[in-house]
Amino acid sequence: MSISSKAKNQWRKTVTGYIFLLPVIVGLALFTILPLCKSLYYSFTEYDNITSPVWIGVRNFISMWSEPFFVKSVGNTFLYAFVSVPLGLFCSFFLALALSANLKGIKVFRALFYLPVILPAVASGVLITDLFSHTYGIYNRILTALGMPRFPFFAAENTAMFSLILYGLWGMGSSMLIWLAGFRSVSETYYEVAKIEGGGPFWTLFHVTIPMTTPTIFYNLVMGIINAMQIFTPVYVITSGGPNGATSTLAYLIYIYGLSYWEMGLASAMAWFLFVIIMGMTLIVFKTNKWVYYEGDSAR
Amino acid sequence: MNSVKKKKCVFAGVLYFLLICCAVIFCFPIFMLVSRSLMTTNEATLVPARFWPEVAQWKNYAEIFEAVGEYNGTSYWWLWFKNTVLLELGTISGTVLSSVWVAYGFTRIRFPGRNIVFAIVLGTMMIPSTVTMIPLYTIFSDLHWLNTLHPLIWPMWCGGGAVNIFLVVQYLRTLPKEFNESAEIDGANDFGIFLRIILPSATPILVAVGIGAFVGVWNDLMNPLMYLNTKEMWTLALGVTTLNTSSGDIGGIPFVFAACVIFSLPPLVLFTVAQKYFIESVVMSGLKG
Amino acid sequence: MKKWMSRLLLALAVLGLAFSLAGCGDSPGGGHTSKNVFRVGIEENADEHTMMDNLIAGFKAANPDVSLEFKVESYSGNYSDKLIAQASNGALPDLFFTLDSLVGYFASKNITVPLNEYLDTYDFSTDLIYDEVLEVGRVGDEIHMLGREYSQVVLYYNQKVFDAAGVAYPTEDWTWDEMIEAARGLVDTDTDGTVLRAGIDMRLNWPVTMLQYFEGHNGSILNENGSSGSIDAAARDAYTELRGLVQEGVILNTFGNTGLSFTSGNVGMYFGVRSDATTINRSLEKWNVVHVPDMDRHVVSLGASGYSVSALSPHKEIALRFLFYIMSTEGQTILAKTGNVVPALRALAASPDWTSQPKEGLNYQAFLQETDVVKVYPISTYLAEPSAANKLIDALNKQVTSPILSSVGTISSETWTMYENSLTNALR
Repeated sequence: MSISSKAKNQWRKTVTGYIFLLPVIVGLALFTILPLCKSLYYSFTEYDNITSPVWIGVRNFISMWSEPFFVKSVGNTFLYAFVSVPLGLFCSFFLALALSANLKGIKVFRALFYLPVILPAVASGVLITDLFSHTYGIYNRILTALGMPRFPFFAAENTAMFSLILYGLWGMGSSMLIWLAGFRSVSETYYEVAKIEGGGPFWTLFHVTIPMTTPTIFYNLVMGIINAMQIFTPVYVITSGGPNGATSTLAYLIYIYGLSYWEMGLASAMAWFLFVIIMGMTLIVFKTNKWVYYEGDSAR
Repeated sequence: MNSVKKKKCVFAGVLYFLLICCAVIFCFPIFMLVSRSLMTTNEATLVPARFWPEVAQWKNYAEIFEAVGEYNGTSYWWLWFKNTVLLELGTISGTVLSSVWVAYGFTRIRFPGRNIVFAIVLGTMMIPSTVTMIPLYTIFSDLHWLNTLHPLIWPMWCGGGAVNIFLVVQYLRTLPKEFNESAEIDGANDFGIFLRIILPSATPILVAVGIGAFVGVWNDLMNPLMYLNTKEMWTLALGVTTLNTSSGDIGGIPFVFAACVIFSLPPLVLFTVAQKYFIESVVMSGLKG
Repeated sequence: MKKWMSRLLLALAVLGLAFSLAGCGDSPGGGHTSKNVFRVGIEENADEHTMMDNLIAGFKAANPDVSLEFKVESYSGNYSDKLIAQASNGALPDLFFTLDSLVGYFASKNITVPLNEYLDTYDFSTDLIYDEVLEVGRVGDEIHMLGREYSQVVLYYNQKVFDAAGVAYPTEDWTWDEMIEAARGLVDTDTDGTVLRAGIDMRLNWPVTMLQYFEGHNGSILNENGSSGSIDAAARDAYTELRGLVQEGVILNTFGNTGLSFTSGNVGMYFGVRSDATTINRSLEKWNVVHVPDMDRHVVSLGASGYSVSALSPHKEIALRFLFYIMSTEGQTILAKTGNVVPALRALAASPDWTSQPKEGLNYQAFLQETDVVKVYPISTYLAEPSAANKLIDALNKQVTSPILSSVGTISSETWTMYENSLTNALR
């Protein structure tokens, strides 16, 4: 008697559970899995979005390497991700440290640093193009006033990517918040022990704060990489691929091939290539997460 | 005792100084945004560039309202605003409700397959939007949803996105199990618990999710650009963007900047007012990976 | 506080759901052909709207038997991309505005209706419009677009800049070299060499002006049948000369992201078309226009935009009637009145409707057809594969012109071959 009622209970729970999961399952199927399959199919075809797709096998995956700017875009994407992510994490970490101090008015500062994140991408793109302008930019005005030569920013091949990274750093407010959350979650007892042990602020930093926030480092790193490798809007709004492809990223190239040249098959192949790379990198970070220390899960 | 206090004062002073310097650097571009929006077109193209206008041209703000034109007698600004509001209502309610609904399923009930689905959902965060962009367009086209707000609203009713689900799940995990048990004793089933206990308790994180959804939709450019074809269907984000292209309706950086300033005000105001929920809720969810 | 918030959330939810479902009912011009509505596609801007509204009103007045509702759809952003997107979903408007770059592409995919069969039916003689305009809409023996305007590249100049630099205004019998000399006088640089004011904006990323430039020097960048890149000696010299001028600041470096522009008042001259006049007039106080001066040859670069009929339209007859109405004297007069186009009808060449706009005293002769010229047409007309136009233009800009402009010294023949290959690859 008790067994069958337990089973019945479990069955009821399963049904209820799936009722609750229904929206996300439908959404997954319709808006994620279906498009994924479709784009996988397209990547093996030649498809111009007007006439029917024509199956060509793996030709797209081979020919995309000889497309102009493809290799450069791959390089740029990696460059951007590998420079801006660690740099951003590093800077936002120390910024968050400073902002976690218990000073009066610290909340105002937190808000100020988060401000650029709230500014719509449209507005900030137009703004930065204007401020970084070779002739009119206010930054060049400051530079010339200080007696230094003008800096080309987005106008020259060798400085364009640097300027893009600089622009990306402006948005460090969002990862700063995540750091703050991470700091919060480190239990006070650890700090007290450190004080008893007689450790100074630097010692505490290296032996308590950093080790205990490794989960946050991990999260920020993963999310950072995923986002950085997909960077598109600034490239589209500001540089259009930069002088001579200097700021062309994979996501931008995919958009151009798909919606400007209407070579959907090739664009889908490139998109899957990007997807595999991102997945690979994420898996690597996951597999090597032995350095992450977990406090132990809360109520499960 | 004195020297420790002194040390603390010096430390605080140095920190304040550094923070102020950094804050100035960070907020300088925004200052320039407002400043240049008040210049005349000539002032904005001067070399060397000016920091602030000679005389603040407040009329710039008035002029952009007329510059955009009308559709069947209604100003486009009003139409764009209306579309954006409708979109926000549909999206926020969808995101908030469905994220907590789904998160409840992931945390408060035990049933087989739950963790697999959760892992898949998290996995979708890795998928670059470029992969699904084009096929999604064809799917919505087959549904005859092009040039409507539907492609922008309904996907948000399916959980509101992996990040939001994740946030709410993390939050719900911090709620004690006793909630469930005391309600079960009273004879309530899962739906009752959801409605009467979990929903009210999750309010802080849901407010954060709602605010995030608001800002996300307000600023979103890519999706309206893809799905909204004709000018009267646009959202504000799209409208402000096209002001910058040389369609000839508006000329000059000051006007474009003025439009950008107005467009940026609602998210900024919302953020200032609800800052508590914004920042503290992210902190509260206690991301532990 | 919490209870109040959760009630608010619930209320929002209900409201949101209600609105979303309500939206289900009306889907404005969701982009599919409908039985009761005649859809017209135009480019998004206020003047086009006014023009089309007037055309529709005029058409309906002249054809009271047409009871269909006319709906105007305007696409903004990249118009050709939007058109192609609509075409791919079988959702093109019944009659739509087309760019010359799309004519061949649409024709090859059978998206537009060949119009030549209907010329007799609607009593329209092609002699009435300029040959060049007809040519742009022709694909093989068929006509897929009827051009609505005569459009050639002209030279706009900012009189204020000329006054400030003390240079004499352009004249109709200027030579190319005189133009360059004048441009040189307009250049203004900062102490560190940064160009603050350039002489001419030749729009180096626009194939219309680039082809004109090459043709004027007797050079070409494509082979005979437009299937591969072939930069001949004259074109190479032309490029080298161009590079020198750009580096001097005489010709604006379009790829340089400098922020300089004609409408901002810091470039003296501008290669544009008739439809630029309104924008220029809004931005500049003193300006006028002349023909583009001759280089080694007298070259004129032409384009035209017009209207096509969608092959999938359920209202073909109405579409054709409307199209030929637009091309009639009455329709063309309405077009002329907005001031943005030179009507395609020869008869309206001197019509005061457009010649006095956007301001009086304009040298409108510059917009008119000249005799004895070498004509350059849109680049897609020279390609074996018109649909590759976008990719070719990108390749030309990003892989050929832009690198050349920032290079120094003599360009080796290997480099030239590399440039040619880039063009060929884009045409594959």
